Amino acid sequence: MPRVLVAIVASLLVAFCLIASLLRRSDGLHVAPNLRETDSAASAEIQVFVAASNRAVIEEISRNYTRETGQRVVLQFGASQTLLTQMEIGRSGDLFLPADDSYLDVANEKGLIDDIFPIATMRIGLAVKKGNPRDIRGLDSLLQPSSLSRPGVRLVQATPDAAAIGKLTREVLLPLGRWPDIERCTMAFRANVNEVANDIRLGVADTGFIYDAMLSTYPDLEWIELPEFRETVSLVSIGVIRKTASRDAAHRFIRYVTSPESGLKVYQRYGFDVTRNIIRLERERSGDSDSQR
Amino acid sequence: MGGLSSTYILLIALLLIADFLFVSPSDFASVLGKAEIVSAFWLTLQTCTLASILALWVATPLAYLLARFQFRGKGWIDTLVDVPVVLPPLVLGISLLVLFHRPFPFSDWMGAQDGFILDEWFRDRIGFPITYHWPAIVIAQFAVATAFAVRTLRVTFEQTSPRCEEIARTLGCTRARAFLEIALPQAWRGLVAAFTVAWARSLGEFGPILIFAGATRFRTEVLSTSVFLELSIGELEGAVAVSLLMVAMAVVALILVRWFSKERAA
Repeated sequence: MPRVLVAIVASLLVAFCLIASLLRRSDGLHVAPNLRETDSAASAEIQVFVAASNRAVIEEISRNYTRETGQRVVLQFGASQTLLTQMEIGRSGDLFLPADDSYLDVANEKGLIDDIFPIATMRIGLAVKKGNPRDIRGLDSLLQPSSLSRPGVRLVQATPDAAAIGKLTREVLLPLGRWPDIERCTMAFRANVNEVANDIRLGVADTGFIYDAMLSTYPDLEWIELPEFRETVSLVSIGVIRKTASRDAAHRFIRYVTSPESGLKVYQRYGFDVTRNIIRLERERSGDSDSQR
Repeated sequence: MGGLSSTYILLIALLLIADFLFVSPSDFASVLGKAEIVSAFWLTLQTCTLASILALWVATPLAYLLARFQFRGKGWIDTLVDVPVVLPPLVLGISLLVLFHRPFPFSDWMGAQDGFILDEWFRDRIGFPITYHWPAIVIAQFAVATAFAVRTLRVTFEQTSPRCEEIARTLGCTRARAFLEIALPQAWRGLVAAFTVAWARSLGEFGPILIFAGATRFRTEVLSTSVFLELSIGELEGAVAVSLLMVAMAVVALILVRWFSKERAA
């Protein structure tokens, strides 16, 4: 009996100690009831659903924001599709920043968000290992038949059915009549664009379609511009979740992210193209001053 | 036969060697020095242990019941317990989210305005939010770990003969005492094994945690989430370094448990 008793008491004790220490570590766990319903300017935190691919840049921006304003920003990372599910079922959160704006369209259709603000643009091209060992120059290099002396180029793509970049690639290549060939010579379709970049980095594949903005986090990859995609841009935008309890705070954060002096500067440093946004903002400003005059 | 089994041993050894060769010691040091990884390490350790203790508490009587008694609906319970084992992890995560966030059917008849929502009740009435906080991690781990613990313990109870318990009962021992004083000490090794399986399962848990607890740094980031976060911005070295840390944790846990169970058995 004592042995079993000791084990039971010990396990209870350990469990209580663990709960106590978990309660102590989690900051902000004990939210006072109904606190979230009031928008108390700086004290309440804002929750942002962020696509994991945006992690590095948004972490830096929100750190700066908290330092400058005292407002806490809780970043909830995940794959864009997973975040959509969380928003839809969980009915919480203030802002949604997916990998590209196709997910915002989906969220908009479902009535999950109302306002959308563009931040930056990305372009599609081919990525290869530094030095371009397979000498890939464009789409035609992908279609070379494989021979004994020269195996074919191993191309991977993000799947057009789930990933936005895959969908966009197909939309561009289909009217040009290039899609069937490219689809045929694709070695594998991956779930998202990060898996494509990781495959190329590890040498599992020779090339694949990725966004130019990803190069800052993949320094050993090289980007090849494709004339077919010159007119195509993918937008990175942030949306306000319709059921947000802190709309004012959310808008303040958006203003910070889309301001050329703070957020956009960081985005630019991470390889995103923010010129469109700056032009738009300047146009708005000159419009404002015109109307003031 | 030796050749056949050695291929598996070789596969695991080669996998670990490949991981080790992929990360340089400096990568390893820089990743493990990050404050968020250190925080994720402690959170993983705490939640895994808590979830496994809870799992063992629930699994022991349930496994004993399934192993020793015949009753109506046993087949159904048996199947239900195995559901988390076969359920795809993402499905479990979504199910948890739905359970905690959809209004209960018919609850609006009982006075709740927009229907009774479990998560809101915990958050507003008790001040103990579940979703996107650490309790969500423990619940997700517990949901799967318990199923594995029940399976392990059930085999243990089935293999120990009920004779000793029966004899004790003829000598005037109650059913509860027979369970506590005879069945449990006999099943000691099984309990240790069940705890290990539950702990290891919780350590590797990822899908349900990502959906139900989210991935917020310093708050709900466990090591499996760290691997995902590092991977998603191309930090392959970081991801592999964290994975190796998890392997090390699993090995240490296994050694500790084995040593502990031998001490007790001796």
